[in-house]
Amino acid sequence: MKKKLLALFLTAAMTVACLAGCGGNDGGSSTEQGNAGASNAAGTENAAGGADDGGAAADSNFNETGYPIVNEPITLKVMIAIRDVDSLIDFADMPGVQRLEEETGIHVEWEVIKGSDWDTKVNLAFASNEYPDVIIAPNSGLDDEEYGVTQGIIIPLDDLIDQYMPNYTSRRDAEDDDPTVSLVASDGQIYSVGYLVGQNINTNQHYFINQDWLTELNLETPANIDELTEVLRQFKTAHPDGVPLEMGLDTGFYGIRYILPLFGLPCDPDKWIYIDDNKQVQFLPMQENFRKCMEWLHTLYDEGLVDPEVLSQDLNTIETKLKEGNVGFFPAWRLLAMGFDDGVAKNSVLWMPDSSASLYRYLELAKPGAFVTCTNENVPATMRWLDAMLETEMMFSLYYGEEGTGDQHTGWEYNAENGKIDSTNDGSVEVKNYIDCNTMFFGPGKYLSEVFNMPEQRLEKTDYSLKYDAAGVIQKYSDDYLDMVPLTSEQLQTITLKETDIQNAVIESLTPFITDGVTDESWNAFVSKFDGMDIEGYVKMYQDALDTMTLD
Amino acid sequence: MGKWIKELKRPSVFYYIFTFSALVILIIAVMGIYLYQFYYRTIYADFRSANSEHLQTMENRHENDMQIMSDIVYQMGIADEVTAFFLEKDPQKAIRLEDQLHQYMSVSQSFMLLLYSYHLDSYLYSDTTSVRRDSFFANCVLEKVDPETFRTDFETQDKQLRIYPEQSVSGRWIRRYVPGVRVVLYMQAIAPEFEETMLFFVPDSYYDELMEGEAAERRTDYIVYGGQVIVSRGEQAAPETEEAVVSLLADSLEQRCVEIGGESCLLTAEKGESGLIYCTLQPLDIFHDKIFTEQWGIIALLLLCAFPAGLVITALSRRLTDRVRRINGILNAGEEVSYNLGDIESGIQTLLASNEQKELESRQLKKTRFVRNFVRNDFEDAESAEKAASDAQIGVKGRVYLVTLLGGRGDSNEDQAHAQMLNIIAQSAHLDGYGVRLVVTGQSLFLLFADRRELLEEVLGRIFTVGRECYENFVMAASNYHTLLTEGSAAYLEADTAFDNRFLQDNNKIIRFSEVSAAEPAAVLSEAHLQNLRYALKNRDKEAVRRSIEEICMKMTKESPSLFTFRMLYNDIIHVLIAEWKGDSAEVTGLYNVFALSQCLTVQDFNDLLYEACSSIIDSRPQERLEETDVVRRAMRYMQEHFSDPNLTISALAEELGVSSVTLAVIFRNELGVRPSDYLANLRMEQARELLVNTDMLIREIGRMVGYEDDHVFTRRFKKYTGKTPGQYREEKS
Repeated sequence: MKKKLLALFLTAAMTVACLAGCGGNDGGSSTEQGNAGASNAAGTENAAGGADDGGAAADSNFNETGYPIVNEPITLKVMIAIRDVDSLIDFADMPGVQRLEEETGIHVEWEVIKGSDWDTKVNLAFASNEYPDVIIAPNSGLDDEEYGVTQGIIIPLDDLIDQYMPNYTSRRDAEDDDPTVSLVASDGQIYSVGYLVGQNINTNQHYFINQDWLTELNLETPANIDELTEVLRQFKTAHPDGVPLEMGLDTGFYGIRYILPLFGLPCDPDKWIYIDDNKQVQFLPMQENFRKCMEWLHTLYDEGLVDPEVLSQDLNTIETKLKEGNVGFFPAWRLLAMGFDDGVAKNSVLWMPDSSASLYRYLELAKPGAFVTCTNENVPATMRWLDAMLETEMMFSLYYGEEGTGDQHTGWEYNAENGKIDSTNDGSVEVKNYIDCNTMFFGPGKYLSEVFNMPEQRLEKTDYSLKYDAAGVIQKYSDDYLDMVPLTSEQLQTITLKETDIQNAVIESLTPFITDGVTDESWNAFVSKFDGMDIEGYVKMYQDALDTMTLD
Repeated sequence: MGKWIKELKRPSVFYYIFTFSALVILIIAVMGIYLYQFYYRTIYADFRSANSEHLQTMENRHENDMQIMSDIVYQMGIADEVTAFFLEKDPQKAIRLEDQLHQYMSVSQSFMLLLYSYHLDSYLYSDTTSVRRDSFFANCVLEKVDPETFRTDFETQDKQLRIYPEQSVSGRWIRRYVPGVRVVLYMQAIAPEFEETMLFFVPDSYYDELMEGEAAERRTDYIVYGGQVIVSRGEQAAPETEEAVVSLLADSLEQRCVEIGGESCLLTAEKGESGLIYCTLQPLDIFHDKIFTEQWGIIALLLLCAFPAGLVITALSRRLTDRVRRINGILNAGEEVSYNLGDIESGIQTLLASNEQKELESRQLKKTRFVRNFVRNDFEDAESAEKAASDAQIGVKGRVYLVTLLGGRGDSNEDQAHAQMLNIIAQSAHLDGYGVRLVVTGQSLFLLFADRRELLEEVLGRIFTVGRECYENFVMAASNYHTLLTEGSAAYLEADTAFDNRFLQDNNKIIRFSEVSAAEPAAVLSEAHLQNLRYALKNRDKEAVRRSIEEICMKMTKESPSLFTFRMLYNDIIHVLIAEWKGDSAEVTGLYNVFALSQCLTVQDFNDLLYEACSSIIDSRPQERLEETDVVRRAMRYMQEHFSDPNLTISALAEELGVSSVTLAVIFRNELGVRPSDYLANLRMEQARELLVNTDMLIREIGRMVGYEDDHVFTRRFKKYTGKTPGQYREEKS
């Protein structure tokens, strides 16, 4: 009887166990509600943005001076733009970033965005009310009129800077001219921390000519465009597989904007208007000299004196050719530290255009570098953190790489002789473990020359700049003022659309001009393209705004 | 254990239990095997289909992207306005070409760089730039393909899709577009002239995603083309195994198990429309692990079934074996414990045989009993005789019967003869009978019943023949034919008489009773003598018994009956006495045996026999109440002394004895079975008869003498008693 009971019991137990085992593989209770809610710190909209008090909660944690900045670690969300061409490792793995965090006690969550995606991402972030704490975008920029003055998403930083950023303010004040004037918005407030890599330069491109070939062909350095054209012809005959004039279309560097100045049109990198020496805003594409430039290019094209790929190639292809060095004449930023060492750097020299040239003047003014959003709950700590990035050694480490890593072609070191910083970064590293020029850098000329041994390439360009300036081939009033004119947000919005149309129209027409030449007909057709765009109004708007500024 | 094996060898119940259990186990095992196989096959099918699905997913996506590339190539083929031009002639086309390429680039989900080139011109185009061909090949150096081959392949006028396996590229120009990643290159010339080529760079990140898998799955995915592995991801994605995989795929694309890198794997492969072969490997260990972990469920289930089943079977079989053992114990009491079913069978057979035997014996016994009882007239009436006959399976109703005695010398054949005779009887239709051996006389007695006399005769004749053969000096005697079932003794005695006359008869034929004695009137014994005997018995007076018997014998002798008559008479007497004493036949058998009569040859023998029987009767009955007997005795004596007194009435007698007349009548009757008035009357009549025969007294006087004052009453009474008037009686007797 007992046995039977036992058997029955076991049977029942096993049945239950079996059934339980078979049936239940329901992937477990899905408590996988992500910890989405956890970090919605940036979500709450804080209208006032704590411009003054910077958050009572952080007071006891926050140190006004000294490091660490906070006693208990806090986290900042930073959205940073990098150039498309930059290959960077994960920021959290960068030694400089890690040291920054250790020092300041502030943990950073980096959101790294490529320049080409920047606008989209920014729009997305602002539209969805998910603001980071800090935005760093010296190379991509942020519309402070729209997001600062109008929407108040970014906060004015004037007082905060003065209170919490000694490094920044001391350097700014050491300059004769305040380099941060360019940061002032239409409401008179500054919405950004400035970015300035002082280089002591005054223009973008310079012109270079293949001295080896000149020497070889026993040619005099051409003094003007006509002579240059002749030289190019000689180059072509002697070096049929080389490129007499190397340039691209609208490739930025090496592009059409770099050639137009030879015809007295100081074309700046992004607009088609300029300020002439009479302080008048001019619309570039409708100038006579524009036509002349087109005609000249057509001649070159026709005779095969310009790279046949002029219309199709991009900056990378151009640079590849420059790296190979089989080029006669070209515009460029400079020769050294461009990777041209085995190429044009070996055989080319600066070429001085004649006085009819008018190059775009580059003002060494701070660009907007960093912005603070209204949802930042740790504003004083943030300001101090930004200032910490500007500490000389930290700044250079984030810009060039760690001290003493010259064997890896990165970094910097102290010069034994003069105690200044030497850069040991030769720009050859493909994947960088430092933020490069995307980081916060504020080094106005005076300060920089005190702490930094300008590398050879900087000196090279400073030299060119001086020469060009002395020769009077640089415009009197920099086009940069056009960026600083007080325009309202609405005006700026209309401008953006118009400038896109202008750009498209110009580029479209460049190609046929170069390939087919310019006839009265085609020129008139070109001009009439701008009829419907109210160019006059556009120019006038700028003029009026410009007239309010004192430029001298 | 040895005992178990021994048990198993014999056809014992264990044998069957074990066989049954083995069968059950076999069934469960077969079911289990089938279930397991089914499960195995299901899991294996799942395993295979999971692999197929994985492959399908991978293939679908990749083929899709291959199709996109193919479509791009096709579109470029028909986009005449932007293709097949010379840059120096149609530079605008270059710009439009770049735009077109840019469109493809912007929606591309696979390739990260797209190049087009017109063989006759010296430029390649991407979506952002043109590049001189020489510069390109100088500045796009492939890890695994030397520049010569690359260039040749690129410029070939061949419709075949060319694929370069995953590798890194270097070169200062290319690294801007393909920064630091490994790529797979797809090269396709454009139909129909194949003077243009398109080149697609697909980065490793794409394949990382395509062939993503959980580490636990341990998959390895391959894409194979042109006899080499283009790209692979996973555990086994090593150069050593790639060759093996390729050759396996060259053999067949069937899903099958293969040995790769020392491990058994399932290979699933399919060729896509683009000509690429997609392949996935998964180690069979994954499948085995799955089986292994989940098979315990099945095993548990089987145990679950088997365990209680086993217990039940054990319990039942234990009961069964106990029962078998008990049955065997019963059948073979005292022998060793046996579980042998054969033992049961043989035991039952033995039982049945002995049962049959017993039945046979019983039947024989019944028959024998019947014959004896019949011959001794033990049956009260015909019905009981018939009933006993039917029990003995002898049909007697409405039949005629006789008794035959036979005997002779010839000892050794007696049994055989007897058996034969019984056989003859058994085989005869419409005739039943049986024969018994009379030990004392050495005779055989056969009692035969038949429907007709002729049958009896026939059987008699056959029996006679057998007897003659088997015996020396064979004698066979037969009685007359009888039909009344109460004349058994008579029949016997007839046969016996006939037999006794054998010396006087011809023994070569059956001696018939009818031939040896004339019919005689049945001897009648006076009631008075019988009554005296009865009284004496009742009084337990052996002396009185002896006297009474002597008187009977005297009487009988005077009548001078034959021996046969004597025997008959004595038989009747004794039967009557015994019946009156109302004992059962079992008692009677001990007291008296008719066969003893046949031994009586002298009167003295008869006397002794009768005396003996009466003594036995007296001895067998306990003493009765003296008082009552005393009264009855006194009554009897008084009546015997004073019967001639006409004043003797029963009530006077009762008064004399000091009891009521009712009491007297009751106890008298209880003791003797007759009423006192009848007894008195009897006494008187007997005396009257004496006087009538032996004297010349007047009837009237005789009447007065015996106690009747009124001679009419006397005459009436006398007639009632004897059946005749006194005068007639006197006349007859003189």
